[in-house]
Amino acid sequence: MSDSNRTRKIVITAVMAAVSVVLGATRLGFIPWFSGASLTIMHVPVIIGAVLEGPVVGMIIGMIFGIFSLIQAAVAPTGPVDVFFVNPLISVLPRIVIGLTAWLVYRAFRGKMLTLSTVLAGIAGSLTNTFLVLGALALAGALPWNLIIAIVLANGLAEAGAAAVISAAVVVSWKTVGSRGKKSNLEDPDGDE
Amino acid sequence: MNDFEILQNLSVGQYQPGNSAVHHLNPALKLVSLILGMIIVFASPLFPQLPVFFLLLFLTGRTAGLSLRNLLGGVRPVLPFLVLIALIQMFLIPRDHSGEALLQISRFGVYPEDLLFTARLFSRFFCLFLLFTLFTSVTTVSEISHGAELLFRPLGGKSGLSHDLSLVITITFRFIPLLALEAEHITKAQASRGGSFGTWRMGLVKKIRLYIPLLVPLFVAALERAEILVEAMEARCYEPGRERSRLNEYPWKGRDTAALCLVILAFFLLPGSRFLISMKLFI
Repeated sequence: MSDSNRTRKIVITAVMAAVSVVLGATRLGFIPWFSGASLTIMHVPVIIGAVLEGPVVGMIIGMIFGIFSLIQAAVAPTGPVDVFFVNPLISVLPRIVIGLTAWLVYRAFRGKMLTLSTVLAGIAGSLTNTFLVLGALALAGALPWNLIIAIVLANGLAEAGAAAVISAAVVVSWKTVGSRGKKSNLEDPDGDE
Repeated sequence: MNDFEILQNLSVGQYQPGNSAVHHLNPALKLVSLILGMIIVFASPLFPQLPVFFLLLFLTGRTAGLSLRNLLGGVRPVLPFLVLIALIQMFLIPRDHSGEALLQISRFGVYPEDLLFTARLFSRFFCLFLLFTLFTSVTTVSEISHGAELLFRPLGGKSGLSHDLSLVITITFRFIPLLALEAEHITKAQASRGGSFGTWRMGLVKKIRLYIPLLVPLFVAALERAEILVEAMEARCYEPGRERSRLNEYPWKGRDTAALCLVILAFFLLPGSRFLISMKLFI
């Protein structure tokens, strides 16, 4: 890869990880939902990073997101389940996989339609998060299995929908509209029309 | 307007400046101790290892000049949740009970297993809380990224991968307040245009439609800032994968070796004492 590409990868990883941290710390990343447990969209930066810059970036963002959720659970828990999130096997490991699956799905559909492939990547990444985290919680004995299945049905699907809509909106607007902002005004003498 | 003061909620861990021996330890050593400490907490049974570990952490905190108020002050807003967690663990999670209930209130009973499980959960939580607070109180962000670079060096020192990772950590920390401010601006802007945040009596589609004008500008602004930063770095001749020097070097000193020995000793003794005790019981 070229050097410019590598700098961009470093910076996008860091910025998306920061977005994830901000979404978590400011509670913006939680959409209140009738089932009691809020919908989380903190994993959307992971999906966007994976779609924009590839699997390694997605996995590192996922790792930082996981470590942050671990720290947040240890230092400022906000719910009954948070006590279990101080276990890195629950909070970090599943989140590393999100980037991988989102990128794989995006790649499988790449080149056909940007919107469609991003939507599918969002759904895949979100479901990976739901299944692996809740599965790990169930294995740790935090919640009984039938409650887990109820959460998957009530929250997981809605989360997948929200993640798909948001990541598609961001990626499409960035890839189509965003390219205008990147160009310097000097290259374009009559750019101010 | 209190809902919009987003920056105030960002107090994960505050650095407490100091001049103690703990502050001056090598950053890589601090990170290793944090990881080993977490393993200790997870590998230890309830008694007597966790209270001993708690005491050790507290003594380290005292050496660093931190009072108990500094160390455990952050736990106060969390206490109601802890009570809730305790109630759920005691009464709602089904477990195999071998003995009789200690206390029976209508159909809810307090069993020894439940008590033990809850106690272990809580002592782990408090140990980890103390560990994280201690770590963030004595370690600056640049020390964290420097320590991470040292630790990742075996993974990819030649290709500069460890430096990339430490740069990611630094940029992440730098961007958190910027993006929090950005999020605050966007929330205020949308609220001033009539976005009704705080009223949640609506369907999912409506909620997501409410969130999209918040989140998409936040993401796009973050990506734009990233793009600007890439350009700025390249304009200043940043080359990824090159060996570079630092403003502050952290040489490995004798007291670092001593501290490392102590940490490793604790790491093997605390979880290992479980076997010593069980052997004594059998003899």
